[in-house]
Amino acid sequence: MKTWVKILAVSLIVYSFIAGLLVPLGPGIKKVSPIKVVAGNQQILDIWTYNTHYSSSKPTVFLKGEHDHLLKATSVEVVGDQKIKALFNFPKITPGTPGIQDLTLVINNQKDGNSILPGALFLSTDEVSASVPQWIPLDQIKLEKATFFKFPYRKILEETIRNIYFHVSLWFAMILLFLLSMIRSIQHLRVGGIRFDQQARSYAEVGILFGMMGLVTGMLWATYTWGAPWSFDIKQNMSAVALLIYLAYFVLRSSIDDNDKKSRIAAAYNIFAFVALIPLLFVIPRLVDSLHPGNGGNPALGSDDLDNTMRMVFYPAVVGWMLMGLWMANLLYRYHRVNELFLEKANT
Amino acid sequence: MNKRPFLNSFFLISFILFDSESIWSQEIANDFNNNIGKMYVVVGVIVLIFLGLVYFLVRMDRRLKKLEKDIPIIKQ
Repeated sequence: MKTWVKILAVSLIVYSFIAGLLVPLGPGIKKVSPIKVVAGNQQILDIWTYNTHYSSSKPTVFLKGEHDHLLKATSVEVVGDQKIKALFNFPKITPGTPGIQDLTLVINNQKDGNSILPGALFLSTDEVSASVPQWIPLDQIKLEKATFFKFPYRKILEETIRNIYFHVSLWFAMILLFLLSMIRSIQHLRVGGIRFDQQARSYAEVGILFGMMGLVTGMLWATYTWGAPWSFDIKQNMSAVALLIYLAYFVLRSSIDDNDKKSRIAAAYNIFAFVALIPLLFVIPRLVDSLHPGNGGNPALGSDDLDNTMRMVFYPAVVGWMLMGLWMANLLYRYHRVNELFLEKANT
Repeated sequence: MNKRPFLNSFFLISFILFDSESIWSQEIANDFNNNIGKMYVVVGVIVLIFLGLVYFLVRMDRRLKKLEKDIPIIKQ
C-alpha cells in the first residue's frame, strides 16, 4: 500500500472531524407557544430559538400562510438571544381556504438570516378572500440573507446532524470492504491460491468492525432522536441480521480444519453473504415504514438532509473512511500472510 | 478512595449518554445537553469510533505477540 494513500486517508478524516465539529449550526426555532390561534384575535407568541443573536440584531417575525402570503408581527419583544415574544393581530379575513390553516413561522434578522419552522401554528378561519391588505405576498417582502458557512438546523436532530459524517461514512466504507471481500472470494474460486482467500478474510474482518461501529453509533444517535437505542426499526433489524451473517462467515472458517476446504467453502459462503447484504440493507427497508432516512418514503441525501455545505464535509469523510478501511485490511492481510508463511516453515 | 475509577466513570458516562427520558418528553427539558443542541451525542459517537479503532489495535497487538512468541529469532 502506497504511503500517500495512508496520508490521504488520515488527512481526509482529520478534515472531516475538524470541519464537522467547528462549522456552526444555522439558526432554528425550537418551540412556539401557543400553537392554536383564531382569526380576528390578537395573540402574543412565545418563541424559543437556537443559535440566534437577537440581542445584537433585531428580528422581524412573520407567519406564512397559504399561497405564500405573510403576516408581519405588530411588535417584537426581545427577551434574550434565544427567546422572543411576538404580538400578532390576525385579521378577520384570511387568504386561502376556510377551516384550519397550517402556518409557517419565519424569523429574519441581519446577523442570522432566516429561521423557519414549518407547521408552527394552526389558524382557524371562517372568512376568506383572495387578497387581504395585512397579508403581504412573499415577493413584496425583503428578507436578509446570511452568508456564513453553516449546517442546516433540523428539529429533533439539532447538533446531531453532524453525526452524518461519522455514522454514515462508516457504513459506506463497510459496503466497499464487503464488496472487495466478495471480489477476492470470486478470484479465489476461479484462480485459486491462498493469497486471495487471506485478502477476502481481511476485508471482511475490517468490514464487520466498521459495521459494528456503525450499529453502535447509530444506537447512541437513535437514543436521542428516535427515543430509544433499539426501536426494532426495520433498518436496525436488517443491518443486525446482515452483520450476523458475516459473523457466521468467521464461525464457518474456524470450524473447518483442512485449509484447502476451509478457504473454498468460506469463499462460496462469502459470495452468498454479500448477495444477502444488498437486499437486507437497501431493498427490504425501503418496502416498509422506517424511521431511518432513505427508507419507507423517507428521503436521504436529498436537499433536506444534506445541503451543499454538508456535502463538502460528507464526501471527503466517506473517501477518508474507505481508505482507512483499506489500510486496516492491508495490515491484517500482511499479518495473515506472515503467519501463514511461518506456519508452513514450522511444519516442514 | 475510589477503587474502581474506570467502572464508575463508565457508569457515569452511560448514565449521561443514555438518560434520554427527559429529552424525549413533550416539554423541552431545560437540561444541559438540550441547551447545547444535543452536542454531546456527537462527542459520544466520536468516542465510540475511537474505541472501535482501539479494539482493532488491541487485537492486532495480541496476534503479533503470539506470532513473536513462536518465532525463535525474535524471542531471544
